[in-house]
Amino acid sequence: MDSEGLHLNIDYVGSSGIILSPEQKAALQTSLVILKNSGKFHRVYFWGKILGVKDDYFIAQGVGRDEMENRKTFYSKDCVHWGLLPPATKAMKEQSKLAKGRFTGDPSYEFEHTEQKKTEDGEEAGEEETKTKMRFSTATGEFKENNETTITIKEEDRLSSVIAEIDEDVKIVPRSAFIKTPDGKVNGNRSFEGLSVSESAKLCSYMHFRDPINLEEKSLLQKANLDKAIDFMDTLEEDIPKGSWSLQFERGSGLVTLRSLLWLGYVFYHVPGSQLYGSCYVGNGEKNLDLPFML
Amino acid sequence: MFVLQPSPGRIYEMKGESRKVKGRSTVPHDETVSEEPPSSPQRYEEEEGEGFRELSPGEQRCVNAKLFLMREGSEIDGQNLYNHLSALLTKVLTEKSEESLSRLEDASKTFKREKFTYKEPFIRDNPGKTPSEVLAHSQWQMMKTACGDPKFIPNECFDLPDEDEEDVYRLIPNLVKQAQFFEQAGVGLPREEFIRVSIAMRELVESWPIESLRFWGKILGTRKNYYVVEAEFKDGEYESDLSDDEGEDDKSSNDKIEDSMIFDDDSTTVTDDIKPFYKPPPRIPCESMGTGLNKHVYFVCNEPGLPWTRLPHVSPAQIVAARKIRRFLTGDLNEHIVSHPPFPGLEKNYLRAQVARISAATTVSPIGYFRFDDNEEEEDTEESGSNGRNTCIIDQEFEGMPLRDLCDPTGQTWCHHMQSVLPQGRNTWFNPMEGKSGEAGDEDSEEEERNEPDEPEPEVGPPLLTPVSEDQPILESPAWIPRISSRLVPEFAVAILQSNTWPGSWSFGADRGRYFTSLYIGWGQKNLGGAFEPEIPPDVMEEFPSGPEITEGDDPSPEEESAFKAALADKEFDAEFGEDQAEEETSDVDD
Repeated sequence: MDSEGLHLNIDYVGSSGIILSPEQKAALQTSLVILKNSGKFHRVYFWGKILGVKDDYFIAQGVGRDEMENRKTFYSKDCVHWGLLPPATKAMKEQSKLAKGRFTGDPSYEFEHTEQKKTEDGEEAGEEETKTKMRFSTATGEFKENNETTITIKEEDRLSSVIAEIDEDVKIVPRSAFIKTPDGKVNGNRSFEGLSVSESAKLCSYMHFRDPINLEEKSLLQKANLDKAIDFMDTLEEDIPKGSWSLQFERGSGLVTLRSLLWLGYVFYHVPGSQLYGSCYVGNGEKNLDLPFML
Repeated sequence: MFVLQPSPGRIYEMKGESRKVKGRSTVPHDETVSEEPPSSPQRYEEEEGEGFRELSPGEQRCVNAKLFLMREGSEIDGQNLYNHLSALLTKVLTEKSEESLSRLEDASKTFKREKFTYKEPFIRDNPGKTPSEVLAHSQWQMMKTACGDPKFIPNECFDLPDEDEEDVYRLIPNLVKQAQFFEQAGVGLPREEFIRVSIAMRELVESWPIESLRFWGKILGTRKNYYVVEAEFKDGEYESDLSDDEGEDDKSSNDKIEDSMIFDDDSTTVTDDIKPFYKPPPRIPCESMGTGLNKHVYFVCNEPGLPWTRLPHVSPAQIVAARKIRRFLTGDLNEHIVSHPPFPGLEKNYLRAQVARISAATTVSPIGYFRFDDNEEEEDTEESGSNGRNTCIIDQEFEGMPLRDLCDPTGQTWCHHMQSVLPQGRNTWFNPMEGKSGEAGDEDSEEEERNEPDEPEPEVGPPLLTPVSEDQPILESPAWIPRISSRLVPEFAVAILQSNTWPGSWSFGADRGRYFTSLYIGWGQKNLGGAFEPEIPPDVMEEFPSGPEITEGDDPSPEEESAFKAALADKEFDAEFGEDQAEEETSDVDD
């Protein structure tokens, strides 16, 4: 959600239970402006909130002219002071999947994941335990006596990986809201008029805001009807499992809300016929792996 | 017959007369004609000054003809013959070309074509009612009826219970105040939605005998959402709503009876050993109406403004099944739930079961607000058995506690004031053995209870008013997370309590803990702490054990069968033949 007009636009996602208290709105209005200036960003987005046990993290993202590259993520606990999160590498993402339980609210907290290796005698492998200890050391793998490897995952790294994963999985934009220029840059479409009511009822009018995965595998016949400047991303229709998005019309047909069932808490809104759209995530930061059972 | 002769004089006369008769103003006037007698203006004025006078027959015929020409044509609107001819003649006279005659028809056609006027069509655009309009209409109806006389200021003393028993609207909770507190904490719904729900609740208090009302929350669904309101009926007003469920249960039990009957009917061919061992588990009945899990009645609607639907009562079987499945709600109350283990009911039953579970687990209050009633008679405590007390009343002398205590992270300052749900699916324990021998008399059943070796253990839940810190934690995180609502303005903050077991359940405490309520906004799913493990299908029933009485054998092949038959036939033949032979012998002997 764009930081400009945040206090007005947050009403659009209110029906999903996402609201900001007046003091949070006041703090965000000032601090995001400062963030934009200090980071020399073209735009700053309020990404959402990740709820933790002791504290919640507010997340913001700053982007340059090209919206797909160079996204910097910031977090804050009080909406006033923002800290830069390290960009998520592949190794970090793999490791953060091992950390279980909710976020604690302390960025320097370390989740410990203990894996016991099976020996050749067939000794009992033991159960995989997740112990949590307060340790202020760097993330290293330690080898213990009985062939255990303990991996520590810092909460900051886990946070960064979760945010990257959510962006990769569920961040969506309406079709033709972004244009790919011939030199490969992705810019906002100035003549985007919004989707019509009938278009906004279809899942194929929304696209994942990431590098396309399914697009290359399409046959030439399917690609013939696509416009290269607009259709350079995957649409929601190819998402597996089918039905992992809940599309609803609020206020009759005045507002369309898409909620992701894979990451519970991600909400996308769009007002048909206008340029207004945005998205927000407020949740635990846990992927809903039971989705196939629940549909 | 009057003939229009193309002489200038006549035309001028016509024009003069047209003025007198007050004809149409569309008639092209003198300005278009180049030649004009200078005397004509004078003549007009003279004639106009004279007013109307009687017309001579010639003039009368002239006027009639002209009126006929002026009559509006039926096909082309706004067109009459007179105008058309005048325009045509004007054109001819202005052009003064030599080929006027040959081009006369073309000119006429051009005029007709160009003069075509677009009349408003009879078929109008009717875009139909957009969904926004439909919704807005129903909400407007609701607001219109609620909108009262602006001069009327209601009695503000809604807290006094003796005032104005007739006014049912005082039962509606102060949602505006709740909305404000929830917003301060950064949770809940936008304030407009609270207002809409509050107005929609009026319909409920008007049509149902309600004792108390509470906005329970909002459950999100894949297609539509549910707004849930919790109500308590007045004593004696609980109708049996189990009629639907009872019918279903009877049907299913009838099916089971029929299945077992099949074996009974064929008992002639089937011996007792082959009857299946399966016995359906005993059916656990609901608690009596108005108590236990069915103490509260829930109403749902998809949008405030649409009519409320009452949810049916919940049965223990539904609670037990709801624990084992994990489904999103679709938003349609009559949707079937296809799952394993099969859920006994439709989506409205599943919704009711989830609402019951969430209420039982997350209805909390600051410790000290409720207390046990010491005046309860001894009998009541005995009847409730090992569950302890199951009712509590408001402590009038509750002084409140400071904010710091309410935000105590261990959660010792909040407690449950609704009974938890036992694994059986009820609030109070029901002994299934009791139900079977109930008719024999209570003393007999008690004896039998003690004698039965496989009597199930009575299930005990945590007693009422236990602090929330005693709840089971999820993995490493505690079950409840209390927090203060604001950092920047902590002096006027409220305490907000977030549930970890049922994410989406929020409770706040303000005014030193004296004003509190809970709200649920979420998908209606429990936090399992790990992956969902579905129930494995039960083992396949084994074959009958082979024994001396019953063994399995192969069917005989056709050759064996024919050989056997042949052998049998031979035996019979031999037997008959043997008798005959014996008879013959005897007969021979006689002879």
